[in-house]
Amino acid sequence: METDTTVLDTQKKYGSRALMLAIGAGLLFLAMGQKEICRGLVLGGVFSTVNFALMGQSLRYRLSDNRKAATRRSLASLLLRYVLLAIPLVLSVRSDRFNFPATVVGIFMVQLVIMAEHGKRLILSFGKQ
Amino acid sequence: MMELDVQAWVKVAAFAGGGIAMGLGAVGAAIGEGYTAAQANVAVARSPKISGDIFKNMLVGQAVAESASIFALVVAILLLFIDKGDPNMLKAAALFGAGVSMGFGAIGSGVGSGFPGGQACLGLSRQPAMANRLTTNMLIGSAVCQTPAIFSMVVALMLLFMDFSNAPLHPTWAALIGAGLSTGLAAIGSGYGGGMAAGASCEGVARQPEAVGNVTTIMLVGQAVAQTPSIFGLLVSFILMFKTFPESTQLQAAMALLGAGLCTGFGGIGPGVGNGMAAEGAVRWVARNVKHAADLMRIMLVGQAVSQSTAIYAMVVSLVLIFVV
Repeated sequence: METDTTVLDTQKKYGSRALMLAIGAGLLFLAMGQKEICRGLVLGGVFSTVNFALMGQSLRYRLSDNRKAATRRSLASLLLRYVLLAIPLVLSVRSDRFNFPATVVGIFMVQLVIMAEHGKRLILSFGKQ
Repeated sequence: MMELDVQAWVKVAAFAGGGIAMGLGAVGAAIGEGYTAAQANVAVARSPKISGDIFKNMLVGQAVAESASIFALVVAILLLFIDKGDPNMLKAAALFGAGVSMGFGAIGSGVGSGFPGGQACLGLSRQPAMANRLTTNMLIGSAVCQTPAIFSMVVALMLLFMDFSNAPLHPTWAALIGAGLSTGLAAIGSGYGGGMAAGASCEGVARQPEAVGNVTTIMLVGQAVAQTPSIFGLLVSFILMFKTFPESTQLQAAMALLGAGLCTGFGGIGPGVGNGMAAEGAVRWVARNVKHAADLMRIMLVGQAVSQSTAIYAMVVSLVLIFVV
């Protein structure tokens, strides 16, 4: 139970920050008249967050007692998440409404938020020393 | 009729390249994530009370370790769906080279970035109070491990978007495939080796938290040197992509360029892993004997320089194949 709460908290923290960053950066580009970049960032950011949420939520199913079932579920989860991440990329390649590089940046939004948080913490710790 | 054939070849090359990019790209990240999960199991069995923190660390580590395969996914989707433009046989070679570069290039980084994740989970079970430091160290190590995969993606994107239509078909087709092979293969060793150093660093931080500064510094230096073979690969790829080769329908001219890519590519795998081993040893023992950090760093750098020499031989032979043969 404690494990579920910690994982859920982590997902909420990074997921909401990633979404906020994607929307915030998207709005900034919208204000500059770059609609395609805005749409790409938000689209990628949403799918990045959903992928991260699925990654954590499938943990409890992946860690079942039955090894065969755990292997099956892990593979299914992996496949599902890659298909999910392919959706915004295919959409942005196919449609002019989305900027492709912005969509790519968007699908790395959760990773960017994680790295930024720990990078900040590292810099602050050097500062204290 | 001829035009239709060329168009078909371009599609065949793009689809094969896309399959190789994602197929091989998934291998490394899956192994790396699996390693992290395996070590998380050991850690939970050792300290079940902090299972929540261990799972959190595992999740964050896996999210970053997955980056290499997401790079591969991006390149694969581009290869499958992008407008191929004016079809010609050089375009087909470039698209295939892009897939090869990204596919091979993601293997080492994917596996390597799993090592810090796994060791951080284990370390957490030993030193729960160092959770933040361990996670930060894991993320830095994991991020540096992605560099060879980023080199491969850069080469793949250049092959995808650069216009080679003015170059002669023979032997440029071989140069473009060679460019993909050079960076892609060389990235395997560097990504894996960098991961070894990062894993040892997480173990060291958990073992001796006071030595965190020395451990992180030697990890970064060790990882930087372990990246060198993939930089050689990148250099040969750039030469193969940017140099204009005189037209020659002789097969040996094409094979010399393809061989140049293969030589630096394969030649970079061993030195990348070897450099990682040297860095792993130094980082691990600095944590146990921090007073001798300077000696350990010196021995690591000398060992890495010697291990590097085989990558230099490979690059010299590649340059001979490009400029002399």
